[in-house]
Amino acid sequence: MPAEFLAAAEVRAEPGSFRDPSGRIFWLGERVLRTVMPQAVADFDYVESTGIVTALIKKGMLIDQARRPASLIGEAAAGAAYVLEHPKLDFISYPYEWSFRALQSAALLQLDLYLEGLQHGVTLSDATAYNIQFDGARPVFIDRLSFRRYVDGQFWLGHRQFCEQFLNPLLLRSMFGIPHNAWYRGSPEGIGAAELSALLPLRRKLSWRVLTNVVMQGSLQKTRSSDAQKAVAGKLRFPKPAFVRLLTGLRTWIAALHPADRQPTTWQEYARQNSYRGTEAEAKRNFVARFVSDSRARTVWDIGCNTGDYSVAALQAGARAVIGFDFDQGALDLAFDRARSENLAFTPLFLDVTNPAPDQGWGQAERRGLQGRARADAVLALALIHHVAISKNVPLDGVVSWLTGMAPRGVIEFVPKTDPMVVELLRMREDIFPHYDEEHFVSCLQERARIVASETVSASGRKLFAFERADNHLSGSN
Amino acid sequence: MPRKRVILIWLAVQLAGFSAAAHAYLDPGTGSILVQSLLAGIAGAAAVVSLYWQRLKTFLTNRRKDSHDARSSATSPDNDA
Repeated sequence: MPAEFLAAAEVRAEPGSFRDPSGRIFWLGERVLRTVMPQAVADFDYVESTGIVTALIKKGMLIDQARRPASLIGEAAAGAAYVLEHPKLDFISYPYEWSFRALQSAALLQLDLYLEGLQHGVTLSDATAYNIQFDGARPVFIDRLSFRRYVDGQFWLGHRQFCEQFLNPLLLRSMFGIPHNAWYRGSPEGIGAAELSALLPLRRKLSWRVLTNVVMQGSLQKTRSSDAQKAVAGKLRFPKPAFVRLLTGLRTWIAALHPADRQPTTWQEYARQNSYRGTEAEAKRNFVARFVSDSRARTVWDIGCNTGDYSVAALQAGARAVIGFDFDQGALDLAFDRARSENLAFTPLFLDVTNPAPDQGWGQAERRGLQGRARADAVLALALIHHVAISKNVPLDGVVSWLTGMAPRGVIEFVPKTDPMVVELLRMREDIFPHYDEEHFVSCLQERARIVASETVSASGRKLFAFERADNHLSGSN
Repeated sequence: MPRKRVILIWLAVQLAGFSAAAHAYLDPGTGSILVQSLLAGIAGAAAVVSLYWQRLKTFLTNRRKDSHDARSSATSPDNDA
């Protein structure tokens, strides 16, 4: 990197990093730096001395770190004892964008960090899901400062947070078949024990795990207990064997949870039952592969990824990472399982295209909206546009504008009214879309981008268009 | 005075306990802490019960072995495995 670039790089405080005064994250251009404040040094050094940090990094459970001179971020490091640098992640996702499987694997990582930590005399100060990110389908812990020295007899201070941010959202789906995403997004601290408890029928409350972690925790939360104060102040003990038993009990419970969906979701069977078959799907895959290798796109967003067929095609054609988005929970769970079992650099996430995650949290800057995180080299929108333009009544021009705004280049599939899927969408409703046709679509696209390739891929007239925006540049290549 | 020394030791123990929570930035929640106290109590009770159970078992095993040994010790010296 040229020296003048470094000198010009602006230091910005990450707006989502402020809760724990032990340190905070700063951006130096595209680099991620973390300050360690003097009050956190004793714990930091102790944890480092146990060897657990190196071991966890080696296992891929914890993000890498390197010490840097404080002068690197100038004033921002004022008062800091140390400055660390972490590798920059392709994409930051939030638990309200995760599938059930993703949240489950993140929960298991969080518990494993506690269990492994306790063996080294280390605990964690919190248990927030926002400390976990995904590398493909592999969860990675990103907050080095959460690790603290474990003092024998200490209570688990992150237990409530763990339940609210992992356990309760998972129980919502596994007990009732209700995905956590909408509730979690509206309540970014997670789902409270009292709230979940209020929904539970008596027979559910009789399980010991539910009784203690949900029902009792919820009902005791409002009490003013001097015992609880004493416990936090270290005057009462939570013996280590009880702590380990609580963690392993939660681990066994969570690992065995499954979504309680009574029937497969609409799109779960899509890969087998859609109107694409054999050679058509092959033509589509080839077009995507050609586009990715010609454009040398490194990071690709696959909007409407379903179980990830075309995400995989993009990876095979040379993409370094694909973030997939879909609104169907069943398809997402299958996509996640696929990414995990095949160890793909593919991260499937929940997205309702007509209602993406907004800027929210403190100052509406703590958790960023989807648009603010859009940094892909290319976007794929296959078999998507009719669902947005027809099912959701979004004007075609708006759909094209949104998609071309996501990345400087991409592939959009146009699905005509003659296609069986569109016929199905219009079966029960009036056709109020006189302008929904290929000619109008092409004119909308050409207003914003150059069409570099196109190909009809189905007998029903589905057609793929590869575009390049006028201001196009590969954001990842410089 | 010995009483004073006891108080001093008690204070030192309490202060050592306080350090556990010194850097906590999170409110752990009354519900969670009380549940953990309950689990700690159960773990404690279970430990005591298990201790007595082990003692009882050892006692009973020894008694059976004693009576068994009394009958057969002369013929089989290796049967205590």
